[in-house]
Amino acid sequence: MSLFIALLTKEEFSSLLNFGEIKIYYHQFTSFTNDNINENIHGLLLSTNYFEYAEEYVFVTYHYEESLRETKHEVKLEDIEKIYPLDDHSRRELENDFPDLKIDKPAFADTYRRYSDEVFNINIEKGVSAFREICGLDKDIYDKSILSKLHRGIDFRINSTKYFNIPIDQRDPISMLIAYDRFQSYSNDLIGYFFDAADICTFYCAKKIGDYVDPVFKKSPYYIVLENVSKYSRNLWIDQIQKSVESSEESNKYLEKANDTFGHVMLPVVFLYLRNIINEGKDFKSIEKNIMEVQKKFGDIFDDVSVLIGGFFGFKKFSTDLYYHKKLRIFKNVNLATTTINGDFMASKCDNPKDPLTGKSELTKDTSLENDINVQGGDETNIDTKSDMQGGGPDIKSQVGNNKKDVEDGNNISEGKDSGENVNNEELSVDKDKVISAFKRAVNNNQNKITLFTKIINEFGEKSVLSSSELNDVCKRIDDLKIATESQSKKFSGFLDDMKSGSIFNK
Amino acid sequence: MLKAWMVPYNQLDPDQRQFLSTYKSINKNAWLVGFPGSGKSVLLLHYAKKILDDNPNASIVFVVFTQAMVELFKTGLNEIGIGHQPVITYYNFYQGDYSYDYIFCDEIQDFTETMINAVRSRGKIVIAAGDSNQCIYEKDPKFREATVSAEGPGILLGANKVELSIIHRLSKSIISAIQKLLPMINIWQSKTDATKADVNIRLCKAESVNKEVGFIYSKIEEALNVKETCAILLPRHDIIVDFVNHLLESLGKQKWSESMNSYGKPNYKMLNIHLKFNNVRLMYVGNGYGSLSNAEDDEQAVIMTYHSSKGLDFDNVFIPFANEDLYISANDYLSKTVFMVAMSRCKKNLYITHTSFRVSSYVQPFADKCSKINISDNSNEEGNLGDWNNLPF
Repeated sequence: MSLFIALLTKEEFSSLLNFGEIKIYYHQFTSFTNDNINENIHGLLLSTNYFEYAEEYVFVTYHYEESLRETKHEVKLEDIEKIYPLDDHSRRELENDFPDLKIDKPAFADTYRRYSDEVFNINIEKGVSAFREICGLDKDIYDKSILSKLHRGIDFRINSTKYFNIPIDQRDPISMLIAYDRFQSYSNDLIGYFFDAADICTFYCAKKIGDYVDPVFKKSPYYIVLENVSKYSRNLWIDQIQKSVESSEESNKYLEKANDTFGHVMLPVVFLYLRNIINEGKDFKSIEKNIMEVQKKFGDIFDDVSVLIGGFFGFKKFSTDLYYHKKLRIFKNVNLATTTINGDFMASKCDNPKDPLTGKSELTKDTSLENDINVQGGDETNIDTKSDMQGGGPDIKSQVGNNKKDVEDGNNISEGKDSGENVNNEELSVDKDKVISAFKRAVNNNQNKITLFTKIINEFGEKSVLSSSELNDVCKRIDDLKIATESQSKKFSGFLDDMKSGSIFNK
Repeated sequence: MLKAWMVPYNQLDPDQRQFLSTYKSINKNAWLVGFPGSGKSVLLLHYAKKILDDNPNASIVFVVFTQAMVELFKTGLNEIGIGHQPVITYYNFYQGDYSYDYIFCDEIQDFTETMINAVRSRGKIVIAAGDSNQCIYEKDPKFREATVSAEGPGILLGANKVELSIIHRLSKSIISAIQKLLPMINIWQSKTDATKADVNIRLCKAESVNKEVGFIYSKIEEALNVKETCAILLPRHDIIVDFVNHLLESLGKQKWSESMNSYGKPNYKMLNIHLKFNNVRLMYVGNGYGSLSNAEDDEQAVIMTYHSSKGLDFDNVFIPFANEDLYISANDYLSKTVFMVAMSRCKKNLYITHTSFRVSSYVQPFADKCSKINISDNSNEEGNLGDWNNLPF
């Protein structure tokens, strides 16, 4: 009898316990007795499909008659000698899941860590290829020298080494850029990315280390330039801000330094911009539009930026978009416009600069409104439990049915036409002021809610009339915000229905 | 904060997936244990979705501790397409008498024995989430009944304990600090995520209290001007009044003459009026006073207790008066837990400030990992901005 070691999935391990035996296949085991055990175990790990979490697998050692080894053999529970988790965390998990079992220390944790780093690096490079393919670039042909800097920057992030604390001798501008997070209170408009870029450039060029509570280039003439431009840059896109900044002679020294440092003065700006909008998980269509605009305006650096973006987020982030891009057979025919990058919608108001290109300032407003609602709800005593909806009352609800039907029969909502084009064709159009008055009645003049509601209405532009589809949008937004308390939700639904149908304005 | 916090099924970690596959099949009470950000609440929602997929007529209810959590759960339920299911607070549940096929409870560690018994008696199956390590109340704030013991939820519900130990929400620096503050807690990070922004923890020392509060206010104004949210968190009400008066003094404004409400507590309505009258961009929020949404609309920071901050998060969090003599409660473990709640509220910058020679014992375990700032000249350990005379551009 010889000793072998096999790598089992947790499900296979459970099967071994439940049925007392398990089939082990050729690629799953190796001899446990030779001198190259770590290399063999590394080989076992590489022979599996990629996995993310150590607790998904477990090693078992077992005795078996070597002469009987075939491509597949059955091992019985009584032949198992030891159980080795892959790392400390999975050991604890196994102990919790199987409290009766003796779980050994993770004897091959270093080998697993090596494998895990390799998989992580593969994910980075697959991310580069995926993002480039989605962007219509060659997925394999790009400047590979940038990869090592990308890897180093990601390592800094994983180890929680902030950009300003990276040892001087380990710095390069790209890895600092990757490691960068904004800790200063720079503008939350697009010009904020110009401040970020100068911040990184200062730390790199001045060879300084450590955290500073004030911007490190505050005494620079370039800081004054950015402050001045920020006074009127709110509605400018990145290229327009760039022109404004470059038109000042005071910027020349910085521009020269930044060009030397990053290869192109706009590389950090464009990277941080794309990183932020992707991190926020805006719907794919809006991101695609931004990406196309970046490609159009900054084509000379987009090749490098695409490598940084793809690697920073990795394959998992872009996998779904890539599958749709490739029109894979197993995917339903979902309109790209309704999909999102990896379904990850984490929103962050603080890092949500306004983007005039796609009306992102409106989206910023959305977030703030939702935060308002949320934080208002955070204090239990701030929520009106009885008076919120009294103004809506049963009268509103009684009129829902007929009017709703009239609208659905008569207008273009069901055809999904664009609201802006269809205003004239729709039967219903209502003055904003009437909508607000109706809402006031519904919420019994609750000032907080009226303020929020008015903001939503005003986001539909300057015109004083709302179309049916705009009204529907308003209703959806209000419904999403969950302004009503649970006890009032039925009345509130009635109010929204009346809004959609227009019956509320007859009151 | 409410927007799209749900995690899709294919992005659940193995512990989470296993819980869903196992417990749905055995259909018995369960108690999910795990650190903040480990996905307990998310799993409750996924579980409910699975139940309703199989049996759309199943009667279910979500019972949570605060109104903030009601809103959060409703958002998540909408995202997974079961937005019509009821979510109610702990107190609302107690006032009712309906029975349900499934009751889902969050923050069970803050429930009392009476409440857990009520939940069990009115639900055929109870799925609870909450970790005794995170209990921040010794007694129920309203009924004054003791909250359950560490293993109480499992015993009272007759439920198996299921542990989730991978953290997905908190930043690396905050997790690292918590590991040092509460080393007995089993907290692990989702290791491969390098995309999440980290939090910068700054430990700031001032020569005097007025300089300390003045520094905090200057940083708050900078942040508010770029639409970031800010919170000043303090352990007790008496210190809140103290802080505000130091701030008013440092700004050359008239101090607030403390008035009490009918319960003998500070009348924060009057305090907020005083602050507004003096154009101080600060609002007290909690105990029925103030409003977070109003504070945000008006670009004001909020000041509140550590306890009140649970479940919320802000771009910048300030923890003043973290001196050697910082007192939170007589129970050391509870104090550390409450301090942990306060420091884990931030998304970008955590400023811990003090005037004493040594910082509070709650900070000492992770002080070496913080940026050290000397408030008097904004210098750090490497020097001050005055050294930057030879800027590269």
